[in-house]
Amino acid sequence: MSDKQTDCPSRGPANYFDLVIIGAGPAGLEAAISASDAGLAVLLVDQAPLPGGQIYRNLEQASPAQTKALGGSYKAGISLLKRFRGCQCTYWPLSQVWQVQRLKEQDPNREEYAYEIALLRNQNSCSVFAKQLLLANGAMERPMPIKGWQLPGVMTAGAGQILLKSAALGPERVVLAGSGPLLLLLAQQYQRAGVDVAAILDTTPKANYAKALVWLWVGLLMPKQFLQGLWLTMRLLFRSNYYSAVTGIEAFASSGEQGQCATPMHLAQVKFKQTAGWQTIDTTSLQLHQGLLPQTQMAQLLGLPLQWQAAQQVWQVSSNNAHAKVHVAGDGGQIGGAYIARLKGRLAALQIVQAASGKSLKRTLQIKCLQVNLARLGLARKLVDKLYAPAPWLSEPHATTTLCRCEAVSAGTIRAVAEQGCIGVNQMKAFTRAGMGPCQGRQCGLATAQVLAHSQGLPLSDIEPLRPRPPLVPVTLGQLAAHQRNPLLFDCSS
Amino acid sequence: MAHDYDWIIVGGGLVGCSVAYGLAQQNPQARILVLDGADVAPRPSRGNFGLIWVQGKGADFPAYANWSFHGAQLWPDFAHQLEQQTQVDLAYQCQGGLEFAFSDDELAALSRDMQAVAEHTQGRFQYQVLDHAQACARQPGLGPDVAGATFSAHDGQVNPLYLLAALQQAMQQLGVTYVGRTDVRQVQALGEEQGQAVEVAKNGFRVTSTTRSWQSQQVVLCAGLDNQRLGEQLAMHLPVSAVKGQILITEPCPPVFKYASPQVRQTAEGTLQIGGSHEHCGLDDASDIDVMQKIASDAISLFPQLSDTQLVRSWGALRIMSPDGAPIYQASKQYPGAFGVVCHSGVSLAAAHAGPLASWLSGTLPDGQESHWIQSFDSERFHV
Amino acid sequence: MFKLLFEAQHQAQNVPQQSVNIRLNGVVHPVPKGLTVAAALLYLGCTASRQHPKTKQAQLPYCHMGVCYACLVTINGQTNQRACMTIVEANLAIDLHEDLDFGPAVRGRQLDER
Repeated sequence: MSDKQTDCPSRGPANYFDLVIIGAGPAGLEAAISASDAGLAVLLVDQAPLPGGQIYRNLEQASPAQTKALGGSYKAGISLLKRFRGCQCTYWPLSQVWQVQRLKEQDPNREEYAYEIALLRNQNSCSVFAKQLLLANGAMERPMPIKGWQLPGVMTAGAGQILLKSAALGPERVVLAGSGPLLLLLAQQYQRAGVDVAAILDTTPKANYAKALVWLWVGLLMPKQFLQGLWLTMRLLFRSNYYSAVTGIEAFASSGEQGQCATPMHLAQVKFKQTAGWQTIDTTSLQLHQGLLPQTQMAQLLGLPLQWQAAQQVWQVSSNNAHAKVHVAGDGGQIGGAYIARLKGRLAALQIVQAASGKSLKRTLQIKCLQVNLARLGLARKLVDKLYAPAPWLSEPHATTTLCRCEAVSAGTIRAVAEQGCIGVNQMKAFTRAGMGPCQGRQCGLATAQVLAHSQGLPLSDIEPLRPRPPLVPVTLGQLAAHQRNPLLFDCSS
Repeated sequence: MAHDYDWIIVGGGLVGCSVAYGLAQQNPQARILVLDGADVAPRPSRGNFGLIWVQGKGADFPAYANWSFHGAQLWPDFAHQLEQQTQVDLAYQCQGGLEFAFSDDELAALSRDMQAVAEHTQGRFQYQVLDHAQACARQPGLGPDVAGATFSAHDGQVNPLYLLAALQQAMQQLGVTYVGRTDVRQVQALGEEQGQAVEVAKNGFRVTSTTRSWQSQQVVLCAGLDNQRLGEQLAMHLPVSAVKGQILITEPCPPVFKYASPQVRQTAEGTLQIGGSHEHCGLDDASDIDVMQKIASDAISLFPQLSDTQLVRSWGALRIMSPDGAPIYQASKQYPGAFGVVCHSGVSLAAAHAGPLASWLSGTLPDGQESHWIQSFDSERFHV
Repeated sequence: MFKLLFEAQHQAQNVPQQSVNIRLNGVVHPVPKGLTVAAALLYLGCTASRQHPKTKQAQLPYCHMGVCYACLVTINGQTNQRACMTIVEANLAIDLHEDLDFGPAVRGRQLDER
């Protein structure tokens, strides 16, 4: 595998590829290996300096102590990364995709290259062209708007894990709050690493346990993971600082006052509510987790339909994707976790190779096997989805809670505009600026839709999501003006 | 009277809401319904550049030149009243507008248009033609390729999104009913289904969506690209085509540009809004890499200092273009009480639409200049 | 508030800790190599990295993966760069707003400046 583009005259000029994969997480890596092993000219682009996505972040450089503390789910990526480094794929790290589109006018000599991907690399903007495209750009944390969530000292649990993996950094003492397997895993990882987990505030509603009981049998479909999860959960129940069925969380800078002064304020206390009432914990570090959302912006830009998935309460890329040449794999399409992502990456690669090289019996059988396997795993996933479905109180934020962090728009403002009949989140964005700031609606789009839907008495499936706008990452006007599309002048690697 | 409403306005964008607001203000007892489409339909009103633009409009169409000029004159009072009613800050300002030229020929062409507009308005429209040095004196930071600019003190700018929000809020405060997420399929004169010669002044109209229908005495089509289809159902010729424009928005910047311009303007939030393309590509309103690149390149020619400014988002929107770019104000001859309004300058003419146009629709506009101008926009002018 | 973990293990296994010198508001600080600028700010003990442009409230990085834009700082003279998407390198200069009180721990180090 090379870091430089390989100019292969038989395969087209330097920035043309049979397959471009966006995202070097589990799905992207598996697909890169399978597709390049099958002889396709593959480019894998990723924004991080090393492959692995978020789950295997920095795994290639982690110390033995680090890897041990992070556990089996992290270590599982070692062999995958080794195989990736051994494959014949062009790999561009530190490259950020800012636009994906179907070519408007195709070069008659290169008709099959129907997709253009614009990216920033080494401060230069350039295009690559692909016959087929695989979106494996992964997920992000579901935003958890609570009072005080913008205070310094509050971050996502995913951020906590990223710091553990990529910087060997951790808080001295932390409160973890929310719901989901990642939260429980992080608690375990922190304990092994010597971080004081002062409390775990679990928002999983009691009712979820009852609903999940019906699905307990699917644990048999994934016995190893099921038992691990069970063990993790059981250990929690014996902790003295584990609080279950939390129905309210608020973060404060100091003794209950949010304050209006301009001097910087840092998190100092967390208040949380259970049926018995409110309690307070002093802490300067709070990490929130409420499951994951697929990052669907690139799929949306390419016109792939999204569907509302009621169990996980997310928009995901629809399974009924009739697109022959654009594929989606991993948590960027549907949340399923690393193992499912790897299989979906392999499956996508096989389908891509079939489309490129024609059907073979071997590949068709492999595809069938993977599909059966994925069906089994998808069923097993339902247990997790049912158990960790977000608590209803989280989608009914207090009027003063900030929903749009970038533009400081409160839940109350969104509700007021919704009550005037606002026709959707895109119109809401126009009327309130929610979604117009630097993060372009990533942190507020879902919460805004939920508040709008509740306010108007509509199901979420009737609300269309925020429309993404390129560039997906900031690009300067100078970089855009100097954007390079012509392969003869093309040399982004300098 | 059995009708649900006195007026149904089909279309809840800037045009539809200006008209509804104006009708409601002028006829406090009228029952008005605005039917609006879906959130992800092409929404030109949400893609508007936000200019209240006078210079150059109607260079070859005297009534349009006068109507545009008049519309800008009506804006300050309109803005004030709307802000009072809704507490929405429209960020309206009228500090004048600059249109930049990158060659002497371009500048000459712009100057000719200015002169024509001045003549059509009997000198009320005033302007200056600036060479490179004069343009730089007025607006520092211009690049060396800028040959010059035309300036007019009559041009202004506003936040078009807040304008729409304010109109919707104000019209509802005045009792207008607003129903969104409605796909209007058919408009027809009542009684017509029986095949009789219809006296529609008595019978009114039925507007039908995919789920239900409403009846009103009068109907105004303000449905943008859908106006052509709906217009035909009421014997109105409302030719429209989509002309796409792409816009870039930067991160907030320190104040550098206080004028209105179709090439760039600085919003109240400090972001720079950069236009603009004119493309004919059907109903595709997506952003394109090559067009974005050209707009960025032109912006840097205009203001070289923008090279390091970050672009945060871009979008495309479909202008509602009539064949000559001027509005269409059509009263159906066959079905009195049915009207069609086509306009791509929903911001510039918002005050005019809420004022004299609403009066014209109500039948209360006295004979005079305003009614003369409005009648010039009859779609008969396309049948030459 | 944030500490380097596994340090004891690093030292025990004789793995040399590599560090790189960066500048924070003109003051030189050594930080471990390979950190993002966001992680480096936490390592240095910053209690704020930015003032929210509208609310003026202090902020620190939130998601550390490039999707929240709370970590915007000036890096090497370029404004509004995501600190979590930039890896530290020798002489990298971070400029936090001069009015921002980014933490006694870090200001304290200014007294020890070489």
